[in-house]
Amino acid sequence: MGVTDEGALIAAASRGDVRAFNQLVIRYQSIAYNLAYRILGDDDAASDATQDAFMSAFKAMPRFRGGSFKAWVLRIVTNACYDQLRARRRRPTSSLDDMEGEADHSPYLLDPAERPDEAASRRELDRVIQAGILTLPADQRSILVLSDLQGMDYQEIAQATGLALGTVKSRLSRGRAKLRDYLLDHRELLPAQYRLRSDR
Amino acid sequence: MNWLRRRLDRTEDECCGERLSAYIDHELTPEERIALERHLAECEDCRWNLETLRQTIEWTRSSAPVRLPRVFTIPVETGAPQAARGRRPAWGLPLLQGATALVALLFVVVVAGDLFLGSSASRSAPQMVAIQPTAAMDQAAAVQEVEVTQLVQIQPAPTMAVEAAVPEQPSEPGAAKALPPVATAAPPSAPEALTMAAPTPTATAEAGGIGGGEPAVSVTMEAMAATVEMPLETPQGAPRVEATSGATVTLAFTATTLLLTQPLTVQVTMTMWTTVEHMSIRALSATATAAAATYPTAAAAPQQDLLLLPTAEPAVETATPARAPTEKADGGTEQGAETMAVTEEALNAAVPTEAPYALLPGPGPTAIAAAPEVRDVAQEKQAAVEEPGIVGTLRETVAPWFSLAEIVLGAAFALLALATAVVMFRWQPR
Repeated sequence: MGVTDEGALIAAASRGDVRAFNQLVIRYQSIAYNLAYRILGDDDAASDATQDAFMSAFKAMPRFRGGSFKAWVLRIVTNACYDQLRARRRRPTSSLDDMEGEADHSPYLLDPAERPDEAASRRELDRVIQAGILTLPADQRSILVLSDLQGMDYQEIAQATGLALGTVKSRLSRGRAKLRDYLLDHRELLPAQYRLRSDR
Repeated sequence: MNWLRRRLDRTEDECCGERLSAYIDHELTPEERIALERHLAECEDCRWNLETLRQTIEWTRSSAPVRLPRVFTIPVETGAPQAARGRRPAWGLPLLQGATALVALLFVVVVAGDLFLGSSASRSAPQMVAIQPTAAMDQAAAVQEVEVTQLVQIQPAPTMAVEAAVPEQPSEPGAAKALPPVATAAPPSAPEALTMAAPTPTATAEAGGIGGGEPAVSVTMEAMAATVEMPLETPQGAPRVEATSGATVTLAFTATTLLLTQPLTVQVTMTMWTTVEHMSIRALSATATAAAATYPTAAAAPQQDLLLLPTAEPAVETATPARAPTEKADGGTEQGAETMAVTEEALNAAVPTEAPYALLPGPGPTAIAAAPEVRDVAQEKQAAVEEPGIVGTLRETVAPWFSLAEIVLGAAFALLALATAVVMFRWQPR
């Protein structure tokens, strides 16, 4: 089938064509898994949520009414993440101590262009950012991830979450402020170049 | 900790609030942006706020994406049922269920009808058994010949004698045996003046004197034939009556001239072709209507009806009559008082019963008629079952198809029920 028009893939998938749907999966699985990982902070849970989301999406394909397929899929992923959080009744890893074990085998992709020491510093920042994201309330967390990690605009986020534009705006603002405060609170853990200016 | 103090302060002077976030994202209207920038020029807290926020967002956005632990494509077979479900028409299952219910209903109706008609048939089971060979056997093979020979004594009635030319002794009407011979009777062994109407005899009448024993007259009469309820055919001279059960067969024998000097014993031999195994001749109550009995001395004999009445009920049950050849039972061996006999060969295990007939005057036209009443018990019963109409007719016409219909409907029901079950469990939407 190759790279075809997304609309054609969606139409075929709506008729139950699994191969067409899997083309869409390949196209969006990275975004979906990253969103799930940022929300859940756990790769196993993120994998489960992502897989569940795609299965649900395939079954719901006939009910897809057009619009942004990406936003539609990410909304399903977000809901799957909320289901994971509810089902496990487990607070996601929120402290840096809990994440220490992951430092050895970072889940993040490495930029080969980075110098090793820069990469290590950067990895340290990513860890703190992720820990900070996990401290956010779930509603702010998902919106901040969609915006600042997935690069979606307000309109897309409103679509993906089913929230009003104003709600997206305010939740995003509060989430960003809290993350910023988290970085300030943990600035001592960060390399010098990643420390926010705490004074004027 | 200046930043901490600022954070605490910021809760109060959240003057810019979410506008800073929207400003970073270029989501403010031009007016809002100008107003905010004007404020930022004056408010250092808000500048710091904006700067740290922008830095946070930048770092977050540049955060490395996580590695995919695996691919999340769904297995192809996952979609197969759904694809099949999509192609399957929505009305498939309801149609299947409806057809199953309909066939089940038809099946119940047919079984119920079969039971109903079957019970009515079982009520007449003996009759069914009796006529079973008829239905089952080849028609040609089923036809059996039954020969019945009966002697009927005809005596001149007093009135006849009276009205005859020379009646010597008027006798009591109905007195069969003690009647004296007519005075003007011709001498015995003088079969004079007897004319046969046709040369095809089927019945032999013999007259024998009571006392003398010598046959006064031997007459062969021809069956002219009429039946009470059905036409009488005479294909080859022999009167053939297509009679159903319970029919009263009247055979008319016509002798144009009959010299009656002594009591006349007529031996009537009837050959019956029957398809019924169990047959009974309930009564051979011959109504002999004698007319135009011409007495030799009488110029014009009165037309007189003679009633032949059996003095006893000659009910003869014949069980499985042998296939006896149609021999003409000639020469009535019985004479005088012996008035009725059934040939043993013809009627297997038949018990001849004495049934003397008395010749009685009766009303009627001019004919010598012997009307043996032949009845068939089995056919009678069968007729009694068949006659009542709707149920009997329905059973005859429909019943043979019941078994086939039951098998077909039962098989159809089984298949449909299986298909429905398979469809329901296999393609049940999840």
